[in-house]
Amino acid sequence: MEQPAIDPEEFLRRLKDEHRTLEWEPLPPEGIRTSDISQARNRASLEYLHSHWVLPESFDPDDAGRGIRGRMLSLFARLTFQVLVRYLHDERQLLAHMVRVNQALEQRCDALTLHLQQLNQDMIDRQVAEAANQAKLALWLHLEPPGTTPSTEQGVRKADNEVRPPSRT
Amino acid sequence: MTNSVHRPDSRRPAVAVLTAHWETTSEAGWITRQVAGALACSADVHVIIPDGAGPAVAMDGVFSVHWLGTPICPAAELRRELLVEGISETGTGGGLAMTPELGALLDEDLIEPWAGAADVLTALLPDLVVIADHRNIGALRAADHHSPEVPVVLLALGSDARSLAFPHFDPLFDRADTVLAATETERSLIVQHHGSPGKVRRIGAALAANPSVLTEPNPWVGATEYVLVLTGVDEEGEHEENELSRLLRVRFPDNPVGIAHNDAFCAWHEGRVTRGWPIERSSDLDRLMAWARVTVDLRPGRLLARRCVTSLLFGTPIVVPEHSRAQEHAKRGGGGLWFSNPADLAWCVEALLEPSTRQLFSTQGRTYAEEEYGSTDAFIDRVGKACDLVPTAEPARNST
Repeated sequence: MEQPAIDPEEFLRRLKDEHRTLEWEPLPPEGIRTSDISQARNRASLEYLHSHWVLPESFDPDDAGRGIRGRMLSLFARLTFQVLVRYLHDERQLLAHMVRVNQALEQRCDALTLHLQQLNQDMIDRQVAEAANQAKLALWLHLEPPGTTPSTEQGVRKADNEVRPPSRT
Repeated sequence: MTNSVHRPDSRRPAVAVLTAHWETTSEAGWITRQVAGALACSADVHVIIPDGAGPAVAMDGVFSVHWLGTPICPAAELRRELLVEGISETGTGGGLAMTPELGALLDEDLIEPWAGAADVLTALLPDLVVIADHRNIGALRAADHHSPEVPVVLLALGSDARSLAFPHFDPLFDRADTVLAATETERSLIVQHHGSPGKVRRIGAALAANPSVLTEPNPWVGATEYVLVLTGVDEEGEHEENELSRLLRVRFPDNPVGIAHNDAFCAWHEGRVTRGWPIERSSDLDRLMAWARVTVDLRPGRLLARRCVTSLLFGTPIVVPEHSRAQEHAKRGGGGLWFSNPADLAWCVEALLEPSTRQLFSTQGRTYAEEEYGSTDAFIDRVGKACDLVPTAEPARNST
């Protein structure tokens, strides 16, 4: 006997429906506040980046010390810098571009973070307002006496549980 | 198809396959070899690659491999990949015209390695040029430099939707007489972005399930009723795949769960783990998949999802991430389910562990895999028809 075909998409939809549970979740309390962090930028890292991205252009003779050893070191260091000057220049340009890109990204992140925080706050304000409105509605419905609904004389026929307009006399 | 070069009728057509890499480790390399092999049934196939220490010709089975000796720098390919990714993310690729500077940067160090290919093509006088990879601008330039009239077939190898939609690679699709796609998803993407549905052909692949594995269970997990999870990442490391595999072994403690990492294989059962060597031989993986209740591939291949097809050929249903290439095998082939979040993953595995449900998906998946990927002859026929080549009785045998 041939087995019936099964549609994976339909099967998956049913699977999700079966597992879906309705969960009651409390509304956020009024006056909830988000974090005060408004900047994505890490100040310390940013300062370090700007302080250190520039590569040295030449050798400082003071770093070599004194004496023959110092002079030899200075000579060797100057030679090294002369050989590597083009590479160091290119490297500096590359680092400069990377710093600019990082700067731009961080600024954009800050702007987006602020925007997100504002949106989040707006959403929470709206939720709180809606919750308050629903609480008022519930209270109003609870306090509203049954007498305000149409009576049998006014057209409610409870025998068949139907609501009909009042009869014209 | 109009051949640009006249050949005597008795001579087999010559096909030049231009590919950046000639290997089988990646899915792209594997499918390139498969297509070249299918073409070898009806033509003499010459593979031209930029690799090698110097220009050379070598035989590789039925293929003549021409090494140009100008290998492509891996950094150049990485730069192209990053640029495509970056520009696509910012919307420049789809919405705005590419600037010449960006175009030059994309092709930097990727065109020059193909400079010698035009001379090889001129010497070979191929009836057909097959370009592997829709980003292979260098190969297209070489083919055009040889002859702008030579028929070109593009083996798209489009594993990334953003790259397929990237306008810089449009000339390859425009120039190609036929575009070959491995899967229906890839074919749809190409048609969506480049039109011409008539010239985009789905060729699939040729995969075979080794029947011997069905008689020899792999004892690594210690049972046959297990869930096989393929993470595609190392065991240590903060990967989402590791989190998902952890979820599965915690969710199904009574069911054996075999988790295959790149660097280890862990068999979990009732909270205990047996750690072993990673899977190295494809036959071991085949045996594990063949005897599993369900195969969960958390990082399927981006081009074809070959492992998933193999699992289906063995009658083992699959659970794969949504929007992966493997989803096609689960959705179109009815061979499994897909998930978009961890809860879905747990529900899908739970559903497929139920014997009657598993049996339905197993039957459907195997039928699909056998029809679409199980026949080598059908694959050769599809490639031959797409390239307008009629297979001869036997492929040419080259003496080495």
